[in-house]
Amino acid sequence: MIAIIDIGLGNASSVYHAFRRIAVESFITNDPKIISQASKIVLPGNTSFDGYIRSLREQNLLSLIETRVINEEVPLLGICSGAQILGLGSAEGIESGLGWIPMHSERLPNVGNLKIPNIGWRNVSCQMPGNPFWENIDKDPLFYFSHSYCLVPSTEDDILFSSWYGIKFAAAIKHKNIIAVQFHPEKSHSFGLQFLHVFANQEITCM
Amino acid sequence: MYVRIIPCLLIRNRRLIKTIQFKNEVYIGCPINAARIFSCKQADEIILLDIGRSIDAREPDYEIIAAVAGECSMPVTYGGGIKNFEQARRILRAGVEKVVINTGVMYSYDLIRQIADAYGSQAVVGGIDVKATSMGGYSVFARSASKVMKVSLEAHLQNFVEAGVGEIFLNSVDRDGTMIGYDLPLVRSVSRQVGVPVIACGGAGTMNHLAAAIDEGGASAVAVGSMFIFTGAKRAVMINYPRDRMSII
Repeated sequence: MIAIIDIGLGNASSVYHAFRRIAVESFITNDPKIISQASKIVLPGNTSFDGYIRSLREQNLLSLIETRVINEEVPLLGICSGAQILGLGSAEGIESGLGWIPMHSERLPNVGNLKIPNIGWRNVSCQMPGNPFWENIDKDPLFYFSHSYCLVPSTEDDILFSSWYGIKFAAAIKHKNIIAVQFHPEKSHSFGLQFLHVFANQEITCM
Repeated sequence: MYVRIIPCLLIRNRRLIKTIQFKNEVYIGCPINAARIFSCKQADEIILLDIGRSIDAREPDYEIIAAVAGECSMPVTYGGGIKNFEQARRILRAGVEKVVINTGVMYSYDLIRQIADAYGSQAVVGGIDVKATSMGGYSVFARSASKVMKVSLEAHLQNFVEAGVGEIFLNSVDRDGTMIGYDLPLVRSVSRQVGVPVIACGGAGTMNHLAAAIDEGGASAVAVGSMFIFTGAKRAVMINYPRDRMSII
């Protein structure tokens, strides 16, 4: 059973509906009992960096989620801003990040005529050959992105997928049992559903 | 790079409708079914505008918003009657990725800043309905194009951007439902004035129109109403969507 963390902001229900489409059981929840029993956890996106950190703190969920993810190695999927907060900090806000992934977030640079935010469907390429997330989705995948800030990991070894918008940037990061994605798999049609299927059904270990 | 082609659904009282120049409403069908069909056809995004809510004081129809959003495995944008932050919060929570604020900024742009601060700029779209004036410029309208706003188009765009919008939804009232093509000088002028993506709306009739709005108009995305709803000279209702993506070099 997958717990989709509900902080009152953001879009947990889209993630829930996406899991429903692939017959995966999930709960939108901020209930510690349910989070304690979840086999995997999702932090959905579409919230500002500071808003997210503060909401998690106000609802007293941080130490429970940290125990589950860091100590018990429960797989975690962070989506968009839910990915950003997993790093050390972001240029978007003043709060510190959770620091569970060695990375930070920077604003996308203005390159030529490209508009910011980067909104739309973009190709990704795989930086971890043979990874199940790549092997189990259709060729030439496209995912939906909607962001002004991008993930900058401390080591390129953690980059799972990369994409391009004026610069090459990290589209997905895998650090131990944590997957951080810049795009919205819950809103990326069949490619997104395939990605979520891998997260839900495959073993995500710290290796 | 791919550009977005976005079906635009208008509803009133949960009924899917279409207009011409914001008038002469005709009933099309069920918006939930239409959304499901567009999702099956892999539409890039969808925009849902409840034009029954922009004028009166009623709350947005959260149920229909949630029902439409639940059908879509692509992002959903909603606009219509959003006047305060709590309404925006409830709509975003209902399963929508972005909200369009149009009449809601008639007196202040604060609502834009509040939504951007809480959700990020990408969650809030500045909606602008324009009509050409007899003197060759454009006037900005609110309340479903019934009331002219005193702010100039240029100032309105700057105010939106300074308040933190992530996109501009630019709607030509004159071209609405006509299927004669987008107002390219308008689209070009607006695209040049802002560093955020511009979604052009109003007038799409052929794939060439969509390409022109992107290539000549500089729009980042095209919203399409009648062209994806009607087919043929007698405007028979048949929902359609192009099979191939559109890209720019």
